[in-house]
Amino acid sequence: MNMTDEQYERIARYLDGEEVSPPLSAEELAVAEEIGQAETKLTGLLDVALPAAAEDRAKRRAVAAMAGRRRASRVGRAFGVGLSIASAAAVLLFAVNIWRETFRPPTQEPPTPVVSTNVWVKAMQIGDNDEFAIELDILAEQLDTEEAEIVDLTIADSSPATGFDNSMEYLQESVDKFWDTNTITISEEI
Amino acid sequence: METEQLRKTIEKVQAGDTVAYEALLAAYGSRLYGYFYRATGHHHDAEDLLSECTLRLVRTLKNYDDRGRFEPWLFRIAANLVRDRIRRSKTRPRPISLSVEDDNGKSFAAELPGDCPAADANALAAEASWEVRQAMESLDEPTRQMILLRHFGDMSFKEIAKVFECPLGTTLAKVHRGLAKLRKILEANSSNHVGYAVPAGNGEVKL
Repeated sequence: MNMTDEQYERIARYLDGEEVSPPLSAEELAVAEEIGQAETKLTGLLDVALPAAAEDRAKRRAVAAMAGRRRASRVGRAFGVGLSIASAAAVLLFAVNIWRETFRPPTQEPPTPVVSTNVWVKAMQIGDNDEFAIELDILAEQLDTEEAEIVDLTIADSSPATGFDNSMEYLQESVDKFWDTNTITISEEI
Repeated sequence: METEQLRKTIEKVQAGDTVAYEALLAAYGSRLYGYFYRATGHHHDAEDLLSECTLRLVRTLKNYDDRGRFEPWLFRIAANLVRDRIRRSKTRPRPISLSVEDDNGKSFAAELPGDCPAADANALAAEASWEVRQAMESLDEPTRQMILLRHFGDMSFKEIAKVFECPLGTTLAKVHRGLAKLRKILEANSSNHVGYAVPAGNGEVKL
Protein backbone atom coordinates (compact mmCIF):
# COMPACT_ATOMS: atom_id res chain seq x y z
CA MET A 1 0.00 0.00 0.00
CA ASN A 2 1.48 3.28 -1.05
CA MET A 3 0.66 6.17 1.22
CA THR A 4 1.40 9.82 0.78
CA ASP A 5 3.15 11.83 3.51
CA GLU A 6 -0.18 13.49 4.32
CA GLN A 7 -1.82 10.10 4.80
CA TYR A 8 1.06 8.94 6.98
CA GLU A 9 0.69 12.06 9.04
CA ARG A 10 -3.00 11.34 9.59
CA ILE A 11 -2.19 7.75 10.58
CA ALA A 12 0.54 8.96 12.95
CA ARG A 13 -1.92 11.29 14.67
CA TYR A 14 -4.41 8.44 14.93
CA LEU A 15 -1.80 6.12 16.46
CA ASP A 16 -0.77 8.88 18.89
CA GLY A 17 -4.35 8.95 20.12
CA GLU A 18 -5.40 12.21 18.49
CA GLU A 19 -8.73 12.76 16.81
CA VAL A 20 -8.36 12.75 13.06
CA SER A 21 -10.89 14.49 10.88
CA PRO A 22 -12.15 13.20 8.51
CA PRO A 23 -11.78 9.67 9.97
CA LEU A 24 -9.17 7.33 8.50
CA SER A 25 -10.09 5.53 5.30
CA ALA A 26 -10.16 1.72 5.22
CA GLU A 27 -6.76 1.73 3.56
CA GLU A 28 -5.28 4.04 6.16
CA LEU A 29 -6.78 1.99 8.98
CA ALA A 30 -5.23 -1.15 7.51
CA VAL A 31 -1.77 0.49 7.58
CA ALA A 32 -2.32 1.66 11.15
CA GLU A 33 -3.24 -1.87 12.16
CA GLU A 34 -0.25 -3.32 10.35
CA ILE A 35 2.11 -0.96 12.16
CA GLY A 36 0.49 -1.74 15.51
CA GLN A 37 0.84 -5.49 14.96
CA ALA A 38 4.46 -5.20 13.84
CA GLU A 39 5.30 -3.22 16.96
CA THR A 40 3.59 -5.78 19.17
CA LYS A 41 5.60 -8.58 17.56
CA LEU A 42 8.84 -6.80 18.40
CA THR A 43 7.97 -6.52 22.09
CA GLY A 44 9.62 -9.70 23.27
CA LEU A 45 12.38 -9.68 20.69
CA LEU A 46 14.04 -6.34 21.40
CA ASP A 47 14.10 -6.51 25.19
CA VAL A 48 17.48 -7.26 26.73
CA ALA A 49 18.15 -8.21 30.34
CA LEU A 50 20.18 -5.63 32.24
CA PRO A 51 23.31 -7.30 33.66
CA ALA A 52 23.43 -6.90 37.43
CA ALA A 53 27.04 -5.67 37.30
CA ALA A 54 26.14 -2.95 34.82
CA GLU A 55 23.24 -1.84 36.98
CA ASP A 56 25.41 -1.77 40.11
CA ARG A 57 28.11 0.23 38.37
CA ALA A 58 25.62 2.79 37.06
CA LYS A 59 24.08 3.13 40.53
CA ARG A 60 27.45 3.55 42.21
CA ARG A 61 28.52 6.26 39.78
CA ALA A 62 25.22 8.08 40.08
CA VAL A 63 25.19 7.96 43.87
CA ALA A 64 28.81 9.17 43.96
CA ALA A 65 27.91 12.01 41.60
CA MET A 66 24.97 13.00 43.78
CA ALA A 67 27.18 13.00 46.87
CA GLY A 68 29.71 15.12 44.96
CA ARG A 69 27.01 17.61 44.03
CA ARG A 70 25.93 17.85 47.67
CA ARG A 71 29.53 18.48 48.74
CA ALA A 72 29.95 21.10 46.04
CA SER A 73 26.71 22.68 47.12
CA ARG A 74 27.91 22.86 50.74
CA VAL A 75 31.23 24.41 49.68
CA GLY A 76 29.32 26.85 47.49
CA ARG A 77 27.07 27.83 50.37
CA ALA A 78 30.06 28.29 52.69
CA PHE A 79 31.76 30.45 50.06
CA GLY A 80 28.55 32.42 49.65
CA VAL A 81 28.31 33.03 53.39
CA GLY A 82 31.98 34.11 53.48
CA LEU A 83 31.38 36.46 50.57
CA SER A 84 28.35 37.95 52.29
CA ILE A 85 30.34 38.56 55.47
CA ALA A 86 33.14 40.23 53.49
CA SER A 87 30.61 42.41 51.64
CA ALA A 88 28.94 43.38 54.89
CA ALA A 89 32.33 44.27 56.42
CA ALA A 90 33.20 46.43 53.39
CA VAL A 91 29.86 48.26 53.59
CA LEU A 92 30.33 48.80 57.32
CA LEU A 93 33.83 50.20 56.82
CA PHE A 94 32.58 52.56 54.14
CA ALA A 95 29.70 53.70 56.36
CA VAL A 96 32.07 54.37 59.28
CA ASN A 97 34.35 56.46 57.04
CA ILE A 98 31.41 58.50 55.80
CA TRP A 99 30.23 58.98 59.37
CA ARG A 100 33.68 60.12 60.52
CA GLU A 101 33.93 62.67 57.71
CA THR A 102 30.42 63.95 58.35
CA PHE A 103 30.58 64.22 62.13
CA ARG A 104 34.28 65.06 62.51
CA PRO A 105 34.89 67.47 65.45
CA PRO A 106 35.72 71.01 64.21
CA THR A 107 38.99 71.13 66.19
CA GLN A 108 40.57 68.50 64.00
CA GLU A 109 42.56 69.47 60.92
CA PRO A 110 40.51 69.16 57.72
CA PRO A 111 41.79 66.73 55.11
CA THR A 112 44.10 68.16 52.46
CA PRO A 113 42.06 68.93 49.35
CA VAL A 114 43.25 67.90 45.92
CA VAL A 115 43.57 71.61 44.80
CA SER A 116 45.17 74.01 47.20
CA THR A 117 42.59 76.27 48.85
CA ASN A 118 44.85 79.30 48.40
CA VAL A 119 44.52 79.07 44.64
CA TRP A 120 40.75 79.25 44.87
CA VAL A 121 40.85 82.09 47.36
CA LYS A 122 43.12 84.13 45.09
CA ALA A 123 41.02 83.36 42.05
CA MET A 124 37.91 84.50 43.86
CA GLN A 125 39.66 87.67 45.02
CA ILE A 126 40.67 88.45 41.44
CA GLY A 127 37.12 87.78 40.30
CA ASP A 128 35.82 90.22 42.89
CA ASN A 129 38.22 93.00 41.85
CA ASP A 130 35.99 95.61 40.15
CA GLU A 131 38.80 97.48 38.37
CA PHE A 132 40.11 94.28 36.88
CA ALA A 133 36.65 93.22 35.74
CA ILE A 134 36.00 96.59 34.03
CA GLU A 135 39.25 96.34 32.06
CA LEU A 136 38.32 92.86 30.94
CA ASP A 137 34.90 94.03 29.82
CA ILE A 138 36.38 96.86 27.71
CA LEU A 139 38.84 94.49 26.03
CA ALA A 140 36.13 91.92 25.33
CA GLU A 141 33.98 94.65 23.80
CA GLN A 142 36.82 95.81 21.55
CA LEU A 143 37.47 92.24 20.42
CA ASP A 144 33.81 91.77 19.54
CA THR A 145 33.80 95.00 17.49
CA GLU A 146 36.93 94.05 15.58
CA GLU A 147 35.65 90.54 14.88
CA ALA A 148 32.43 91.98 13.52
CA GLU A 149 34.45 94.21 11.16
CA ILE A 150 36.47 91.19 9.98
CA VAL A 151 33.31 89.48 8.96
CA ASP A 152 32.26 92.53 6.89
CA LEU A 153 35.59 93.19 5.19
CA THR A 154 37.38 91.06 2.67
CA ILE A 155 41.09 91.53 2.96
CA ALA A 156 43.45 90.16 0.35
CA ASP A 157 46.65 88.47 1.56
CA SER A 158 48.72 90.85 -0.52
CA SER A 159 46.93 94.01 0.69
CA PRO A 160 49.09 96.64 2.42
CA ALA A 161 48.57 97.32 6.09
CA THR A 162 45.45 99.38 6.70
CA GLY A 163 44.17 101.32 9.65
CA PHE A 164 42.17 98.26 10.59
CA ASP A 165 45.31 96.13 10.67
CA ASN A 166 47.05 98.66 12.82
CA SER A 167 44.23 98.86 15.29
CA MET A 168 44.12 95.02 15.49
CA GLU A 169 47.82 94.93 16.16
CA TYR A 170 47.46 97.56 18.84
CA LEU A 171 44.63 95.69 20.40
CA GLN A 172 46.59 92.41 20.43
CA GLU A 173 49.53 94.13 22.07
CA SER A 174 47.25 95.60 24.73
CA VAL A 175 45.77 92.17 25.49
CA ASP A 176 49.21 90.55 25.71
CA LYS A 177 50.51 93.34 27.93
CA PHE A 178 47.49 93.09 30.18
CA TRP A 179 47.87 89.30 30.61
CA ASP A 180 51.65 89.51 31.12
CA THR A 181 51.22 91.98 33.93
CA ASN A 182 48.29 90.30 35.68
CA THR A 183 49.49 86.67 35.31
CA ILE A 184 52.78 87.53 36.93
CA THR A 185 51.02 89.29 39.74
CA ILE A 186 48.72 86.32 40.37
CA SER A 187 51.63 83.82 40.30
CA GLU A 188 53.64 85.84 42.68
CA GLU A 189 50.80 86.24 45.12
CA ILE A 190 50.10 82.53 45.13
CA MET B 1 6.07 3.15 37.69
CA GLU B 2 2.71 4.84 38.34
CA THR B 3 2.46 8.51 37.41
CA GLU B 4 1.95 9.73 40.97
CA GLN B 5 4.66 7.47 42.36
CA LEU B 6 6.99 8.62 39.60
CA ARG B 7 6.29 12.28 40.38
CA LYS B 8 7.09 11.75 44.07
CA THR B 9 10.22 9.78 43.23
CA ILE B 10 11.44 12.53 40.91
CA GLU B 11 10.80 15.15 43.59
CA LYS B 12 12.84 13.13 46.06
CA VAL B 13 15.67 12.72 43.57
CA GLN B 14 15.61 16.46 42.90
CA ALA B 15 16.00 16.94 46.67
CA GLY B 16 19.08 14.70 46.59
CA ASP B 17 17.59 11.42 47.81
CA THR B 18 19.90 8.65 46.58
CA VAL B 19 17.47 5.88 47.52
CA ALA B 20 14.85 7.48 45.26
CA TYR B 21 17.44 7.68 42.51
CA GLU B 22 18.13 3.97 42.85
CA ALA B 23 14.39 3.32 42.56
CA LEU B 24 14.30 5.38 39.40
CA LEU B 25 17.20 3.41 37.97
CA ALA B 26 15.55 0.14 38.93
CA ALA B 27 12.44 1.24 37.03
CA TYR B 28 14.15 2.49 33.86
CA GLY B 29 17.62 0.94 33.90
CA SER B 30 16.56 -2.17 32.03
CA ARG B 31 14.80 -0.27 29.26
CA LEU B 32 17.68 2.16 28.91
CA TYR B 33 20.16 -0.67 28.72
CA GLY B 34 18.01 -2.47 26.14
CA TYR B 35 17.82 0.69 24.06
CA PHE B 36 21.56 1.29 24.28
CA TYR B 37 22.36 -2.29 23.43
CA ARG B 38 20.03 -2.41 20.44
CA ALA B 39 21.20 1.00 19.25
CA THR B 40 24.91 0.24 19.43
CA GLY B 41 24.96 -3.54 19.14
CA HIS B 42 27.54 -3.89 21.92
CA HIS B 43 27.19 -4.68 25.59
CA HIS B 44 30.27 -2.63 26.47
CA ASP B 45 28.84 0.44 24.76
CA ALA B 46 25.47 -0.15 26.36
CA GLU B 47 27.01 -0.31 29.81
CA ASP B 48 29.09 2.82 29.19
CA LEU B 49 26.09 4.68 27.89
CA LEU B 50 23.95 3.59 30.82
CA SER B 51 26.54 5.03 33.20
CA GLU B 52 26.79 8.23 31.18
CA CYS B 53 23.04 8.52 31.05
CA THR B 54 22.65 8.11 34.80
CA LEU B 55 25.27 10.80 35.39
CA ARG B 56 23.56 13.08 32.90
CA LEU B 57 20.33 12.43 34.74
CA VAL B 58 21.89 13.52 38.05
CA ARG B 59 22.93 16.80 36.42
CA THR B 60 19.74 17.52 34.51
CA LEU B 61 16.95 16.11 36.63
CA LYS B 62 16.84 19.26 38.76
CA ASN B 63 15.68 21.11 35.64
CA TYR B 64 13.04 18.55 34.75
CA ASP B 65 9.59 20.05 34.55
CA ASP B 66 6.95 17.58 35.63
CA ARG B 67 4.44 19.02 33.18
CA GLY B 68 6.12 16.99 30.45
CA ARG B 69 6.22 13.22 30.21
CA PHE B 70 9.22 11.73 31.94
CA GLU B 71 9.91 8.81 29.62
CA PRO B 72 10.20 10.79 26.37
CA TRP B 73 12.34 13.32 28.24
CA LEU B 74 14.62 10.56 29.55
CA PHE B 75 14.89 8.84 26.19
CA ARG B 76 15.64 12.10 24.42
CA ILE B 77 18.74 12.32 26.61
CA ALA B 78 19.50 8.70 25.80
CA ALA B 79 19.01 9.31 22.06
CA ASN B 80 21.44 12.24 22.16
CA LEU B 81 24.04 10.09 23.91
CA VAL B 82 23.63 7.36 21.30
CA ARG B 83 23.90 9.87 18.49
CA ASP B 84 27.13 11.25 19.95
CA ARG B 85 28.53 7.77 20.44
CA ILE B 86 27.73 6.71 16.90
CA ARG B 87 29.21 9.92 15.51
CA ARG B 88 32.41 9.34 17.49
CA SER B 89 32.64 5.70 16.49
CA LYS B 90 32.45 6.67 12.82
CA THR B 91 35.53 8.84 13.13
CA ARG B 92 37.33 6.58 15.59
CA PRO B 93 36.79 2.85 14.97
CA ARG B 94 36.61 0.86 18.19
CA PRO B 95 38.64 -2.30 18.59
CA ILE B 96 36.63 -5.46 19.13
CA SER B 97 38.05 -8.39 20.98
CA LEU B 98 36.63 -11.82 20.39
CA SER B 99 38.06 -13.25 23.56
CA VAL B 100 37.66 -10.53 26.20
CA GLU B 101 34.78 -11.39 28.48
CA ASP B 102 32.23 -8.92 29.71
CA ASP B 103 30.88 -8.73 33.28
CA ASN B 104 28.65 -11.71 32.64
CA GLY B 105 31.57 -13.83 31.59
CA LYS B 106 30.48 -13.78 27.95
CA SER B 107 32.83 -13.04 25.11
CA PHE B 108 31.95 -11.53 21.76
CA ALA B 109 32.81 -14.84 20.15
CA ALA B 110 30.13 -16.51 22.24
CA GLU B 111 27.55 -14.26 20.64
CA LEU B 112 28.42 -15.35 17.13
CA PRO B 113 25.99 -17.86 15.64
CA GLY B 114 27.23 -21.33 14.80
CA ASP B 115 26.42 -23.34 11.70
CA CYS B 116 24.19 -25.77 13.56
CA PRO B 117 20.88 -24.92 15.22
CA ALA B 118 21.26 -24.29 18.92
CA ALA B 119 20.69 -27.29 21.11
CA ASP B 120 19.32 -25.67 24.24
CA ALA B 121 17.00 -22.87 25.16
CA ASN B 122 19.68 -20.37 26.21
CA ALA B 123 21.67 -20.84 23.07
CA LEU B 124 18.49 -20.49 21.05
CA ALA B 125 17.66 -17.28 22.83
CA ALA B 126 21.15 -15.97 22.10
CA GLU B 127 20.67 -16.98 18.49
CA ALA B 128 17.38 -15.13 18.31
CA SER B 129 18.98 -12.11 19.90
CA TRP B 130 21.77 -12.24 17.34
CA GLU B 131 19.27 -12.44 14.49
CA VAL B 132 17.34 -9.49 15.85
CA ARG B 133 20.59 -7.60 16.08
CA GLN B 134 21.45 -8.41 12.49
CA ALA B 135 17.97 -7.42 11.38
CA MET B 136 18.22 -4.14 13.26
CA GLU B 137 21.61 -3.44 11.72
CA SER B 138 20.12 -3.83 8.26
CA LEU B 139 18.08 -0.68 8.88
CA ASP B 140 19.41 2.80 8.27
CA GLU B 141 20.44 4.70 11.41
CA PRO B 142 17.46 7.08 11.78
CA THR B 143 14.89 4.35 11.13
CA ARG B 144 16.53 2.04 13.68
CA GLN B 145 16.58 4.80 16.27
CA MET B 146 12.96 5.69 15.60
CA ILE B 147 11.79 2.12 16.08
CA LEU B 148 13.88 1.73 19.24
CA LEU B 149 12.71 4.99 20.77
CA ARG B 150 9.13 4.00 20.03
CA HIS B 151 9.65 0.62 21.70
CA PHE B 152 11.87 1.46 24.67
CA GLY B 153 10.99 5.10 25.24
CA ASP B 154 7.28 4.69 24.67
CA MET B 155 7.45 7.87 22.60
CA SER B 156 4.66 9.09 20.40
CA PHE B 157 5.32 9.57 16.71
CA LYS B 158 5.04 13.29 17.24
CA GLU B 159 7.79 13.18 19.90
CA ILE B 160 10.01 11.04 17.68
CA ALA B 161 9.48 13.43 14.77
CA LYS B 162 10.57 16.26 17.06
CA VAL B 163 13.74 14.43 18.15
CA PHE B 164 14.74 13.81 14.53
CA GLU B 165 13.49 17.17 13.29
CA CYS B 166 11.58 15.28 10.65
CA PRO B 167 8.02 15.81 9.37
CA LEU B 168 5.45 13.62 11.12
CA GLY B 169 4.35 11.87 7.91
CA THR B 170 7.94 11.11 6.90
CA THR B 171 8.68 9.73 10.37
CA LEU B 172 5.82 7.24 10.24
CA ALA B 173 6.69 6.31 6.66
CA LYS B 174 10.24 5.44 7.78
CA VAL B 175 8.98 3.44 10.76
CA HIS B 176 6.47 1.60 8.60
CA ARG B 177 9.07 0.63 6.02
CA GLY B 178 11.56 -0.30 8.77
CA LEU B 179 9.08 -2.55 10.56
CA ALA B 180 8.16 -4.24 7.28
CA LYS B 181 11.84 -4.90 6.56
CA LEU B 182 12.43 -6.29 10.05
CA ARG B 183 9.46 -8.61 9.74
CA LYS B 184 10.69 -9.87 6.39
CA ILE B 185 14.21 -10.60 7.69
CA LEU B 186 13.02 -12.23 10.90
CA GLU B 187 10.49 -14.37 9.08
CA ALA B 188 13.15 -15.48 6.61
CA ASN B 189 15.44 -16.40 9.51
CA SER B 190 12.69 -18.25 11.35
CA SER B 191 11.99 -20.37 8.28
CA ASN B 192 15.58 -21.65 8.48
CA HIS B 193 14.91 -23.09 11.95
CA VAL B 194 12.44 -25.73 13.12
CA GLY B 195 10.56 -23.00 14.94
CA TYR B 196 11.17 -19.33 15.53
CA ALA B 197 12.41 -18.63 19.01
CA VAL B 198 10.84 -15.78 20.86
CA PRO B 199 12.45 -15.06 24.22
CA ALA B 200 9.86 -14.45 26.88
CA GLY B 201 10.29 -11.84 29.57
CA ASN B 202 11.46 -14.41 32.13
CA GLY B 203 14.34 -15.56 29.96
CA GLU B 204 12.59 -18.71 28.73
CA VAL B 205 12.18 -19.33 25.07
CA LYS B 206 8.87 -20.09 23.42
CA LEU B 207 9.05 -22.20 20.31
